[in-house]
Parts: sequence; C-alpha cells; structure tokens
Amino acid sequence: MRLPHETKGGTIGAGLGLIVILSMIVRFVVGEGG
Amino acid sequence: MEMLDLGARWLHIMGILVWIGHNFANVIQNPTYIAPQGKAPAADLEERFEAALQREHGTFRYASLIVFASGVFMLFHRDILWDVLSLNSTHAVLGIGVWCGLLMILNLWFVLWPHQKKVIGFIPASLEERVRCSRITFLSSRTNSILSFPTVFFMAGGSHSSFLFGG
Repeated sequence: MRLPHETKGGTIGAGLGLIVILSMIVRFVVGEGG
Repeated sequence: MEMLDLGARWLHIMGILVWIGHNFANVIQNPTYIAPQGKAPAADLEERFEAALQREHGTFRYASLIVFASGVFMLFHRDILWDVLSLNSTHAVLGIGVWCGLLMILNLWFVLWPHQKKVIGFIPASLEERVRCSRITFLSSRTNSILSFPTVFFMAGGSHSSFLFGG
C-alpha cells in the first residue's frame, strides 16, 4: 500500500495541510477575541 | 550579547540549510520508495562509497544538533523559552514551530538513524532486514520533509503573529 507521503505530491499536500490544521489550533490558542 | 544572538541565528539558519537541504535533495532523487535490490557496490568502490555515506550522514545529523542548540540559546537568551514551549498566548505561533522542529530532531535521531545504520551497512544486517529498514527510513525522512513545511511557516510566523492570528 502506498502512503500519501510516498509521493512528491502527497508530501507537499500533507505539508501544506499541516500548516492549515496547526493554524486552526494556533488560532484557537492565540486568537480568542483577536 | 547582541553579537552572540546574531551568531546563533546565523548558525541556526545555516544548520537548517545543510540538514533540510539534504532532506529535499532526497525527495528529488527518490520521489517514490524503491526497495534495495541487494546489489552490493563494486568492491573497489565500496570503501569510498561507505566513507562518503558516513560523511554525508554525519554532516546532516550533527547539523540538526547545531540547529537545536542555537534555537534553544536564542529562546533562552530572550527569556521566552518556557512561554514558547508551553504555547503561552502569542508565543504559541513560534511554539508550534518549535514543537514541530523538536519532532523532526527526535524522528531523525531515534527513528531514522537506528534503521539507516542497517540500510547503509554500518551494522551488518540481512537483505530482508535492510529492505524492512529502508522503508522505515524512507517514511521517516519523508515525514521530516512534511514537518518542515509547518516548522518553517510557524518559525517565521512568530514575528507575524498579530497579522496571522490577531491576538
């Protein structure tokens, strides 16, 4: 079975996806009322 | 102290170039996983090949420690080490980057490296074991490629936290 990060596209996609997901977490921590 | 801080930042970025540059060279050279075929390099090349591998792997692994030490120094020097690690208020932006970076270093030293030693023959292993380990090192290395995206984003984002996240 090929995992997403076994391809270049999957690597870039997962990297950018992590930015989005972690941004939501940071937004939650920092941005209450921001 | 200002000079030390500048030096630490320079070392930090230089170390990242060496370490992650190596990682992305690997992404380009091996876009997808191919299992080792068990063909040993020609005997006359073997010694030079191993020496080159050893240098290569030593260089980028120790670059990661320079990145770690200079990073900790900068946070300590600014007296925000604990705030950053505990994701306190706006320090959470840099903090997420730091935690991702820590994961990368732990992944490199405790997941990738023990298996890589078998793949490149520093520790003798059967072909079957080398094939198993090579897949682990591939996935571990690629995990660090992925983590480098948010790490760099949030490290750089620390200075832009109000633009990015308000607060």
